[in-house]
Amino acid sequence: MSLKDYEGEIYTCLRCGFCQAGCPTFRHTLNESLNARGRVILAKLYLTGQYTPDEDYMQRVLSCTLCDICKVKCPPKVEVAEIVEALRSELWRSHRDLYPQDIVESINSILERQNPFGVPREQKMRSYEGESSVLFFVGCSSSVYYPHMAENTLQVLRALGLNPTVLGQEEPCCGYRLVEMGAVDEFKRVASEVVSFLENRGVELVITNCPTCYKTLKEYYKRYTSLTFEVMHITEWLVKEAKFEGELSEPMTVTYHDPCHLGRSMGVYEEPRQLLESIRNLKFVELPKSREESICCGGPIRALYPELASKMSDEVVQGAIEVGASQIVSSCTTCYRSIASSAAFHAEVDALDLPTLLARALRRG
Amino acid sequence: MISDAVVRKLEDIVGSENVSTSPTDLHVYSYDASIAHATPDVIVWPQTTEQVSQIMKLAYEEEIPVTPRGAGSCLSGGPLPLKGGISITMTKMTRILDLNPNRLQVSVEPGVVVDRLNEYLQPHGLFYPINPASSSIATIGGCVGEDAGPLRGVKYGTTKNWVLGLEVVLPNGKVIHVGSKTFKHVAGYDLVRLMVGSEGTLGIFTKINLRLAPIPEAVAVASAFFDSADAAGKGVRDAILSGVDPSGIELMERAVVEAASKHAGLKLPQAEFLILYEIAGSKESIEPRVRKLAKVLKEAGATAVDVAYEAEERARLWKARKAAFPALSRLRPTCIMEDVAVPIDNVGKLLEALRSLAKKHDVMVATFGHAGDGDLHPTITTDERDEEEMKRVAAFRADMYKAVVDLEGTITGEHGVGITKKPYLKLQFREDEIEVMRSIKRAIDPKNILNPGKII
Repeated sequence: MSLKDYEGEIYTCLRCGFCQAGCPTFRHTLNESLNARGRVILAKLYLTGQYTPDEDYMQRVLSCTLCDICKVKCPPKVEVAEIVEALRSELWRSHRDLYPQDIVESINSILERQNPFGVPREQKMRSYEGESSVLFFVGCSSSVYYPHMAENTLQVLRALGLNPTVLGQEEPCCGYRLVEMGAVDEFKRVASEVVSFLENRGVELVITNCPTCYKTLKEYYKRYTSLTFEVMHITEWLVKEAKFEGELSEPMTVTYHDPCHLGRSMGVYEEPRQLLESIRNLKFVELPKSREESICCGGPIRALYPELASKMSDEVVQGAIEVGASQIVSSCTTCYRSIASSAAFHAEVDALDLPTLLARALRRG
Repeated sequence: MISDAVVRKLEDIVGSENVSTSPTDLHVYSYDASIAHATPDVIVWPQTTEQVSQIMKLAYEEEIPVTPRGAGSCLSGGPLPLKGGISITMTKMTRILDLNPNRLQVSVEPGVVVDRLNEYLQPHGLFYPINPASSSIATIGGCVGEDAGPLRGVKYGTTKNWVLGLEVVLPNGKVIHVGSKTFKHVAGYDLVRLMVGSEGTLGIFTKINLRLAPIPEAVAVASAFFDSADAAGKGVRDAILSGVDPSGIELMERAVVEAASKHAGLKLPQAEFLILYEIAGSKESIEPRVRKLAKVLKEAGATAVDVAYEAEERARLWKARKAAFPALSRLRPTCIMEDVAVPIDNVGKLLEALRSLAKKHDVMVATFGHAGDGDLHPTITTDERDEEEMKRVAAFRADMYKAVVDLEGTITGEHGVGITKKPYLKLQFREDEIEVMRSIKRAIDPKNILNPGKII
């Protein structure tokens, strides 16, 4: 949808400012143009032709993490994240020269190398031949940087009777970064290519560990194409289709960070908690802000605005320290990376990814 | 326009990271929650009284307009810099300075958000009762500037009843302290009352000493349904006269209940008027007071009265009330919330007048609000892009203010005059009275640099 299609949504914004109570980029800058209301005003200015974007304008628009907490705080529930996405798609067409080089390279990398990181496709993890109709869609981040998370996911799935296929270098990038940053035409192409590629391989069920791939495949793709396969997050599959049981050799106090794309976006709140609570010797404690109130870790803007992103992940880590957790578990590689970078400064707490914890609990390690 | 030299001086005072002349930021700081807008030349975020004082001294010397801003949730255009100049934004002064539970007092900086203050006070069994609907973001400084009102105004009044003292930076940069740490004092003119609700035109508050209240032991909410404006008006008046001491009385008319129920996914009985009454106090006092209230309301003409004692059920009713404005805002592209108040025995007549004027001008108006304070929010849903309709809206507003003044009321109960109600102040006050206000403004701000163009 174009920005014009969101005109009604833009005018629905009352400018009441209630989003200040949620927006993390506002909380850490106290600059209203880095708040949801500010971004809606900026979208309106663009729409009505009253403003020519400049570098600051781009920074305000591109620094939104699309975490969607503004909608939780917004009385009329304005779709701010969708407005920002639509605004970015206009800017990608009209002001591409103002995009930071990092984003342009990331977009080109997806189109040329099937990953947003600019690394050769060969750096993705190895493939596994399993059931042809069930695909474990690893995601670029895990495949390139955290293959152990994918290996642990596989271990858990296999132990519970599922032997999915892993495509390795052949796995396409889901293309989220394209739709996130406004390259919508490119995204549409990628979405339809990925869907037909998976269809041709006879895939009936896609399991993801990455919440971003999950949201992209399950929700964004549906905007432009119809899916012939089912998409499940690993936590959904483990709760619905298997009976996961695990135990830790030592007691551990664990908290869970709801990734924006899994929680607020897709409503998957209970399954990860059920899995954690099923592990013996694990004491589960909630973060001060959890479920729909969960604080964005800053991951999506870490490369562009590292200082701001660090303040956001620091806040998550502080919350975990407050509730006495020694491990902050997340089922998202982006969140893991963010939280780990802040947790590194605190001896009492560490970041831990869910598959690794589950694999360890299965081994009773 | 402001010269580069002045911008550099501002940067020297507060640090360059606390000054912005970015056109992107200036555009965003052109707005509040009203439909007005006006653009500053520079935004400054001070962090100390000394910085605020230095900024004012500079502005006074250079005759630069300065407009204070909190969260920017004002509904009357208060923080919008009509003459450009400096937007002085107080949101980085967020310290809670001194809590004294034994005195029921706390001292805060102006950027403290109301809900944050109440979270801080809660473990002490205390609260600051003036929580406007925007309490999740509204700053104490902004509330003091606008004399904000709460949902429970019947018992607790408005901000002015809870401000004991203020540190104020005057337009010439001098810092004064007004008020007293006592609950009563009549030493000299009441400058606290003068400053509270002055909409940023007389001084900038840098410290605020607030009175606090103990959190009530128990709460119940009664909902009553009425078929006519007259009966609803009686239901408001008689509840207050009955002596059952409600803390808040909130009204929603049919269109609001319908929209709010749909928006919040609640099933509420439909009636011409739904009124919620909150009764708070000691545990043992609640039930007899609620019983008496129900009897009074039935005698006043309520078709039904329900009582919610449980927190969950109470939350459901307040959820509907809180959904009123957002639900209405979804009906049309533009939503203008008005804020008029009348004496409590004229509420019924005001409700009737609003309905007939909306019909006369063919404007969509749905009314809700703090009926127990006589303060209602007739909310116009319209489309700012439709010039012809906006003319009808303007005609409705003018007639509405006249009707309110005829009912011995006020053109604004809690949102302030700001920009949006400035043309109507003369309906309520004669020239002689407005001239007294002007002479006060001249005495304190002879160069007219502090929030110029507002109120008078």
